[in-house]
Order: sequence, then C-alpha cells, then structure tokens
Amino acid sequence: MGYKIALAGNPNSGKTTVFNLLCGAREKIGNWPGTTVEKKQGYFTYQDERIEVVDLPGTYSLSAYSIDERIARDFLIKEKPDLVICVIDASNLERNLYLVIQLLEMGQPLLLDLNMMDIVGKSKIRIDTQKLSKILGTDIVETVASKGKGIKDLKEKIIVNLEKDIRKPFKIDYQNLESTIEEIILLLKDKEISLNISPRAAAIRVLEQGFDLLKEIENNTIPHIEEVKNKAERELSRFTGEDLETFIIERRYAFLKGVVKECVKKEISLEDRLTFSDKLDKVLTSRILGIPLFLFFMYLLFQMVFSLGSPIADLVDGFFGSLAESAKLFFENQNLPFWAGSLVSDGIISGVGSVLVFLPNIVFLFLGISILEDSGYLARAAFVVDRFMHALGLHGKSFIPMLLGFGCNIPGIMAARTLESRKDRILTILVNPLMSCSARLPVYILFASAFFPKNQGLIVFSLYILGIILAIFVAKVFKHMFFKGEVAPLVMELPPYRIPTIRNVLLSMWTRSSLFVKKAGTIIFLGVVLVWLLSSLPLGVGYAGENSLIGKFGKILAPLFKPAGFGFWQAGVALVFGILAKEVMVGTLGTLYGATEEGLKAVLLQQFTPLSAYAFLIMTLIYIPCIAAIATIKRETNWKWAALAVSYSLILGWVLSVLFYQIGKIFTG
Amino acid sequence: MMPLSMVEEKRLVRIVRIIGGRGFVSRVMNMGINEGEIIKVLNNTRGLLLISLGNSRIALGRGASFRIFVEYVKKG
Repeated sequence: MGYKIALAGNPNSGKTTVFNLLCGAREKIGNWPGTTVEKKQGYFTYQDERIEVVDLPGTYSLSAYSIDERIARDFLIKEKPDLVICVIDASNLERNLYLVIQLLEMGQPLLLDLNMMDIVGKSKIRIDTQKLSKILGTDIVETVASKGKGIKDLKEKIIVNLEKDIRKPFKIDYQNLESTIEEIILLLKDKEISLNISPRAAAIRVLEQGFDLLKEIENNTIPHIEEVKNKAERELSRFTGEDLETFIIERRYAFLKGVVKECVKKEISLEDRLTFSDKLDKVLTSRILGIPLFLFFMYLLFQMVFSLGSPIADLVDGFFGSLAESAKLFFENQNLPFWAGSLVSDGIISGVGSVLVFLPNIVFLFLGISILEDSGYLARAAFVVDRFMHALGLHGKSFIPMLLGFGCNIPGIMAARTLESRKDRILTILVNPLMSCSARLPVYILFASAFFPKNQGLIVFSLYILGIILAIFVAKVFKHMFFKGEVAPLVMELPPYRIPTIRNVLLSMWTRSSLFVKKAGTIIFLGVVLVWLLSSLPLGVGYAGENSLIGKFGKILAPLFKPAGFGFWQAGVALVFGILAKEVMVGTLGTLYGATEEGLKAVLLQQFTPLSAYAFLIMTLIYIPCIAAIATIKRETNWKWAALAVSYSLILGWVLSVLFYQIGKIFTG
Repeated sequence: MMPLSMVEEKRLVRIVRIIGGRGFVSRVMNMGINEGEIIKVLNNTRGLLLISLGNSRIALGRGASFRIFVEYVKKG
C-alpha cells in the first residue's frame, strides 16, 4: 500500500520548490482529463515507503472563489489525502496561517512546513515554533527550500505523521454563531449525510459560503438549514452590522492575531523596512519607467530567442538533412522498396526534422519565460500593464495567460483560471489563441528567413505585435457583445524578487520544452505520415504532385486563398494540417516539397512573393487554433465558446490576409 | 477617512473599512487585507497601487483601491 499526501499553501510560499525537492527528477506533470484539474503529481520513497505527492494550486483560502481554489478544495474533500503538508512563508505568518486553520477546521491531518526561515532569521522576527505547534496541535518542520535545507527532516516527519494519527479536535470560538452552528450540526446528523469533512466544518461552511458543498452532495438544499441560516444572518446583522461571511473571516483572524502574538517576538515596524525588492520596484514599476522597461525586457526576450537559438537551429537542420540523405542511400543500397525509403526520408525525417529544427528557439523562449517567472518580474509585469489592460476591458492578471500563450496557448488558456470573474476569464481565453505560440514560430522563421533575411527579427516581432493588437481589438468587441459590465478589480500579491535558481529555471524549461518534443513524436509524426500517404496515393503518381490525393484536395481549397495571394494547393494543404498542430505546417510543406529547411526556402521563394508570404503569415497567426487548444477552450468553458473561437479566428484571418495582400498590391504595383 | 487610491506614496495608513460585493470583501480579507491593518503605500500611479502589508507586497487595481477606506497613521 502507498500513502497519498498533498502540498497546500499560499502562492509564493515556495510550495513548488518543496515539491521539486521532495520528488526530485522523478516528477511528472499530471494533467487529468475531464474536469479542469491541474495538479502536479510525483512521488518519493523513504525508508521503503512509496509516497505519492500531489502539488495543489497555491491558494489563500479554501473559499473556492477562483477555479484554483476550487480545485484545491475539491481535491481535499473528495480524494482525502492521508496527510496535507501546508507550506508556509514564515516571514508572513499570520496571513499564511489562515489557510492552515481552515484545513484544521476541516479535520484534515496536517503537517506544517515553515519555509523561508532564512528570511526570518535575517529580520528581527523570532518564531516560537514549539508553542505554535502546541497551539495548533500539529508538527512543524523548518525548511529553507530554496537552499534545500530541512528536506530530510521534512521527509522524516512526513513518515512519522503518516504512521500515527495525531488528529486533535481544533475549534475556533465563533461567539454569536456557536448556537447556530450546533443547530446545523444536529440537522446534518438527522439527514445522515456522509460528509467527508467534520460536521462542524460543514456547518461553518454552510454559514460562510452557502450551500454549494451540500448541493454537490445532496443535490438540493435542506430547507431547515436554510431557515436556520437566514435567521442567524438577520440576528448577526442586527447585533454587529456584519454579514455571516465577513464575521466568520474576522473571527478567524482574531484567533490568528492571538496566535501570532503568543508565538512571534519583536515584529519590527513597517517604517524602517525598505527591502532590496522594494528598491527594485521603485524603478521597475515606476510611473514613468514601468512600461518602457517592460517593453525593453520583452524585446530582450525575443532577441535572445533568435540570436542564441538560430545558430544552433542551423546545426540541427544540417544534421537532419544529412540524415535524410543517408537514409535514402541506405534504402537504395539494401534494395528495399522505393516507397519505404521515401516514407522514411521524405516523410518522417524531413517532416519531423523540419519541426525539431525549431527546438532551439523554443527552448530559449521557455528559458526566458522561466527566468522572468522565477525572478518575480512576471507578476510586476501584470501590475505595470494593468491600467493598459483595463482600458482594453481586460484584467491585469489576464496578462500572464497572454504571455504564457507565447509559449503555448494551452497553458495560457489554463492559466486564466487565476482570474476570479467568469466574464474576465472567458474573454481572456477567447483572445489567447491570438498570442503567437511557439508552434507558430517555426512557420514565421521559415518564411522570414526566406523572404526577409535581413529583417528576420523585425518581421517575427511584427507578427507578435499584430497578434497583441488583434487581441485588444477582439477583446473590445466581445466585451461589448457578451460581457458588459465592470472588470473585477485587480488584487494580486507580488512575490519578492530573487535571483532565479538554475535548478528551477531548467526544470520548468525542460517540462515545457519536452511537451513540444513529445508532440513532435506523436501528433506531428502522425501528421507527416498522413501527409506522406496522401501525397503518395493513388499509386504511381508523382510524389506530392498535383495528381496525388493531397494535390486534389489542395486544389479545391486553393481558389479560396487566391485573393490573399497564396492560391496554390500546397499552401491550402499546409493550413489544413496546421489545425492538427501549427508546427505541422512546416513539416507539411517540407514533405510536400520533399526538402528540409534550405531546400524548402528555395522552393518557397519561387512560389511566394514577399507580400503573399507575409499575408500567409497573417493567416497562420490568426486562423483556427490547433485541435489541442480548441479542446482546452472547450474544457475550460463550453462548446459554445470553443465554436466562437474557431469561427471568429477563421473569418478574421481570412479577411485580414486578403486585405493586407490587396492593399499591399496597390503600393507595390 | 478616504479611499486608499488618494493616499500619497510612502504614507502609512490604517484600513478602516472595505466596501464592495461579498466576493470582493472576503477575497481581500483572505489575503490579509483587513480592517485595522496598517499598510504602507509604496507606489501610487493614479489609483493603481503597490502596498506593503507585513512582509508581502500587494498590487491593487483602481477598482480595488477605491473600495478600501483608510486613515493616516501619525508618524512617531
């Protein structure tokens, strides 16, 4: 048998670092299908005991306002982990303990990990952990996860806690509400509802949050309880002028204030504390320099992607080119059938190779994003652009999903979960595919290097900017059409700046990039084989010729794209296969022309003009998200919104590329 | 008493009242922004605020800073 434990904690408490240290390199990213779940899962073995660890999203409470919180809450209630490790930023004890007491109220077996003890050590705060442990009735481990300190201790304590069930009843005095709580507990007992949390916790939950939880279990409300709740609400508002929810939160904080007073010594005043982080913020988030610096960092990011990535990409291209050659020779020398050689060299090696060529660029993009994320700047960026985003009808926090969208729209779309309001969330999701994901980058680079060799960076940058401008425009229109009303106000904690740790940056770069490689191995592989097959049939036809199946198919589409300047069948086919995954487009073109990068460029130069090439790139940027992104949109919202995302992008892409080409023709003659 | 959005940079203020919908009030309370807490305004760009509360730094959009009412804490 194995144990299952979960890591919970506030955002920025170092939870993920603890997770990575516990599970080491054996971590795997689990992405459960069906419900909107994103928890990381891994395991470690200690003293021959295999322990499964689930890393929950960072939350301030279990109130289930945002989807993140709901995921965490649902996991705790439905999956019942054997132990929860609550990772706490010790330099921020009071606020972090709020989640802890909610967990304790639920009756969850708990182990506290006081993290970032080094920061506490530096400032003049002393935490009496023994006393804290006694008051809360849980064991406490001290760690400095960023330096790997205390992890062995943590593992030991986990085992100890798993083997003894030391759950002690934990109670906060809710004063005026105590009699109501008792009443509801009795009513719940009558109903014999099998709750996964203690009856007291359920009663408090009902008073604080309403009936969402009971509804999930019982499928309806219990009339008696509703009456009791309403009565309590009326009385409370008469005596204290407050509503139930606020009163309950205040009682908890009152309790915490007491705890902190008991256990924490010498809190220094706010006055003399202007940390290094604050000094940096003075510059990076300042009124005048904030936005220019932000643009500068973004520019730097893309410069790095191209200037560092491209030379390596050339090496990779050379490798696949000669690999395809020698594969062809090998098949000829062995007297194997011609089709087999063609499948391997024209189909698989050229197709997959032409996609993997862009891996260096993508790795550097993810490296850049990971550094921004880990350093703490990403959250500032959201703050800096909030005013700007607000003017567009979006939320400052929408910025992070957008930026992640540059890596891949799927994590971008999922990151929209941190937005509290449903309206803001759907809007952010709908425009996310307009962020040029790294899968579109191969197409951009291919065309930019063929047609605009001197201004590659600029051309690619212009497409990113175009995507952003369109996102703004589309957001405005949709906001007006579907989501009238105010944007939820921005409230967001900014983590302190820190030097990114090599380990974290590399790990997050690796998990993201390896998804791309996996895709190259699966969807893209199938895509190129399919393209090869359709190009080779019917038998005897010239490979990827006009009379092959794919040629005929492409010819049907070609007239549609004629007004945009790329009305030849290869372009049409590439666009269709691009829906599988955008990288497939390069592979498709590679297969259709039977060439790797250098050869492909030469062929493209004959077919496209610079003008139609750019029109093609506009189409590539905008039209229909890839299948995986459509599925993610559907999963995060519903079919209606997914259908809207597909149709608006197709129409917008076509209209803009046609407009660009036609207007451009006037100027270029 | 005045909205937080009007407080100049570097001033220390005490939170007196938080108004707004239920979701908003409890959301900021969950993050530790409670009545009675003392906060410092680090940056105020026309209502877009960066505040320090204990050891944490919190960004507040205009919609939020207009709903949090505060009073000055005398220095000294």
